[in-house]
Amino acid sequence: MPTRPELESMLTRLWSEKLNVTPIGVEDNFFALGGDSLLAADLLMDLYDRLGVEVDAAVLFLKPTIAELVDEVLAS
Amino acid sequence: MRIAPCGHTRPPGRAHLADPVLHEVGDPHAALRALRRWDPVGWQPVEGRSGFWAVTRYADVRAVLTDHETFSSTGGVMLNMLGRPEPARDQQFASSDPPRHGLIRGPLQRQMTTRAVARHAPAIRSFVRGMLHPADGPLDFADLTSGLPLAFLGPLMGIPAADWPDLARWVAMSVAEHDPEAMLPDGPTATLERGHRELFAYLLHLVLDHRRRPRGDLVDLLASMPLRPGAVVANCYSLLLGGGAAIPHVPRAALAELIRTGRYEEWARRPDRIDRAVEEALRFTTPAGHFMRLTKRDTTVGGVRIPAGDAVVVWLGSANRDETVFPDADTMDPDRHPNRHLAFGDGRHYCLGAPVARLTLRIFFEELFATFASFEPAGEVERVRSTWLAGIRRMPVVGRRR
Ligand code: HEM
Repeated sequence: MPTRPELESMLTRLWSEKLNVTPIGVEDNFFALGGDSLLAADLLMDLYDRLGVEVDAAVLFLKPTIAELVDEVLAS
Repeated sequence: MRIAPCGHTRPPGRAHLADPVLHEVGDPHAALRALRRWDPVGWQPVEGRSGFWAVTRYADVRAVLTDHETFSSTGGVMLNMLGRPEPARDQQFASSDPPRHGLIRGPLQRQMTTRAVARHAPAIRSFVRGMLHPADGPLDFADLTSGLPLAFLGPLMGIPAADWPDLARWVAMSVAEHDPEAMLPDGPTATLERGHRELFAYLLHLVLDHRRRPRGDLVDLLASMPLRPGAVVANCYSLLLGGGAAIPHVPRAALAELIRTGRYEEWARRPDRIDRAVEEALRFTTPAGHFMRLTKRDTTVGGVRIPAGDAVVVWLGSANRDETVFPDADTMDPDRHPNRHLAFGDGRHYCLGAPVARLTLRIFFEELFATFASFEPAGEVERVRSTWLAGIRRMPVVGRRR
């Protein structure tokens, strides 16, 4: 399992790719950065495929920051 | 907004159709009748957003729904999307125009024809029987019917019954965001967003679950198409909203009218003519009240000039009461024929679920009529506070079994 800093940088890269935005902070809100629900679904599917874990999608949809998502990945 | 009594000699003050309260406690059919007569294609301003053209006559509604070159679905199809970009445009067939629309809809359509859905009839019937089985005496007919969509969402999408209470709440938040039963303390916009995101999160897991365990249903079919994951989920969202929102309101509003007019027994005694009765219940209740389009070019509707880029909203509940097409339009007549109502829309976006909705309604009414000898009113009927969902949220009755 990757460490927190590794996950943070991986997710930051993934968000930048999907949103076409840099730089991204771990407390930035996915939807405030221009994300929409379709992009959120794309991103989670990518994450599941890369890490092989199925984190609760409601985290990204309802608490949409990298910090929250990393907590969730580490917890699962 | 209060509607002045409809005078026959002068146009009354124009009703604001975008006001959800009109549909809850006002007289929306009087407002729509007045618009059909005095202002059939009229501009309605909306606070904080620009506004829309309200189209209320049957012929004009059909003209808009069948002209996909002029009227686009890519800007969202419900009033709550007015003035906002639709992120699912060209990704979700409900928010796409031909030819893109047909590429996604085509394969689904083959699973949803009258012939294809007939195989679900036994499962739907046993579900409906289970639903009606415990009902007796005083009950809320709205509660009793709230699970009806599960009769087919189980077989079509693999949705487990245990998930329905949450899903029903999120569906209500997504289509009736002003209704006090659905609305969160943060207001309608927050409610809409929350309902939508909860459903997306749920459906993403549903898609993953289908990947692990395919069932040959509509979710598997969508997942096998060349679509990005977000688009697969967005199309599942259309199916769930389309299938989950409107259907319980047909038996609710139809039974309310049968109780009001004392015609329950007359309808119940004629199971052989159930198909016409179902069509008439659909016309009379028209639970999906409006749909929106954006004009792609300058055009005219009913002789009124409409510039490119404007929102046009067709009011299906009004078209279905157009007295020039349906004689005695405010009467629910089980023998009405012909009955080319627009409750399922028209054109390429004609409801994908119409065959399964018809089958389910037929079975529901057959079972209802066979089970109950009579219904009495037992309290105030409350309608939904929504511009889109024309229906009933509370309906206390006393049912007597045969
Ligand atoms: C009484 C119940 C129902 C009513 C009154 C109703 C009404 C409608 C209407 C008026 C449209 C046209 C929308 C437009 O023109 O933009 C529509 C489309 C649609 N409906 Fe239904 N519907 C019902 C049940 C269902 C069911 C049971 C399903 C699925 C199982 C469903 C799925 C859909 C879908 C996916 C669309 C989009 C079709 C397209 O854009 O090509 N509906 N529905």
